Amino acid sequence: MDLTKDRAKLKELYMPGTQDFVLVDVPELPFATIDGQGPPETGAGAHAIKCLFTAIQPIRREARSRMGKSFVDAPVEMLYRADDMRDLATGNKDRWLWRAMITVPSFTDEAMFSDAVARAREQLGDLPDTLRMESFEEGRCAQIMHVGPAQDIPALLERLYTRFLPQNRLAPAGAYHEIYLDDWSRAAPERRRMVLRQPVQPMA
Amino acid sequence: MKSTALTDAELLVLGLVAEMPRHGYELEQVIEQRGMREWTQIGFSSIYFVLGKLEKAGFATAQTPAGSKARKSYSITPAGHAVLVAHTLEALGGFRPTYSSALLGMVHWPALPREAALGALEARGEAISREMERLERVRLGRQPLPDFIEALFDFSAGQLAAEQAWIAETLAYMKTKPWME
Repeated sequence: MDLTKDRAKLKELYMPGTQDFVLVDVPELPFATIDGQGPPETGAGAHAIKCLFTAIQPIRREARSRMGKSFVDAPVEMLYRADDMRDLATGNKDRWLWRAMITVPSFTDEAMFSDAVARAREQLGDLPDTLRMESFEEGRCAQIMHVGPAQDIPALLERLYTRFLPQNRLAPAGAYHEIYLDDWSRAAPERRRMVLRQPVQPMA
Repeated sequence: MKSTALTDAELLVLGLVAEMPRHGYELEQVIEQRGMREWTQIGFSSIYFVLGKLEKAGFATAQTPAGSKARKSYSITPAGHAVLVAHTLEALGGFRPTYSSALLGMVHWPALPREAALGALEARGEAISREMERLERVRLGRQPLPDFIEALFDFSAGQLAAEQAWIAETLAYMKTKPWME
């Protein structure tokens, strides 16, 4: 799906309200992605994000010149999962698996992507093996906007998993997802916006 | 508001403290990461000097968290914010001409032998090409950049491209012009 042609959907997906969890249907979208393991805030996570942004720079620039003032910058998104989901809840980060990703414009093809990756490799040297372009559909998800420091997230997730999902007869289905709308090196902790998203399925 | 002169380094540090409270070492890291030394002169030790001046002027306040090893964290004051806005508007809105050495070179064009003059202009064009390539590498190396910083790079790239077009045009013209030695 080309989100740039559907502003209402773009807003629904990336700008939910801060008050209540809402359900959305996330269509198939193309991403540049890198997979990793362990605490994402340590070197590997930051390096993955740097590699992604460097790799997609020529594509972003192309998008900027094609779209002019209707260009929207795509944010960094992270999927988190653990083989034993309790490791996610208890914050046992050594066991976390994550995927760093950024949506790319719908006109991006494999040739354009591999050219961009080759340029990034000249700049940064070795890139993670898992760097690739991939499309996928998250489907039905519950999500909310959180504005503020990361330490307030566990209370929100508690509300999601123990109240909102059971009340709506839903269960988690797939990796927990965070979307970071601000550059943390430029925005103060109390002003950082992020979308917290969880794919769901009907309760068995 | 009383007029307050701020040096470039003071304005730079004030802007970084306005983003979020930061301590001296953190400021050093941000200045380094964003490559701000490419266009402002600010040494590591002068960051603390500048912070002291901003604090004294009432543009920043320092919080010292409890603990003996705690570092002072600086944040912007309302007065500091007003000064930041005023100076930034002035920088953006006020046009300050800068003079290129190309002007001085062109003024004395007739003093030069033909081949040397054309060769110098060609060399200038090559230097500009190298600078354009360097800027692109810097831009790529700093990803991700917010849109207003991309626009800043566009500004520099545009200036260089305009100069290159001028060189090509001038070379083409001067090469066809009969030369009186």
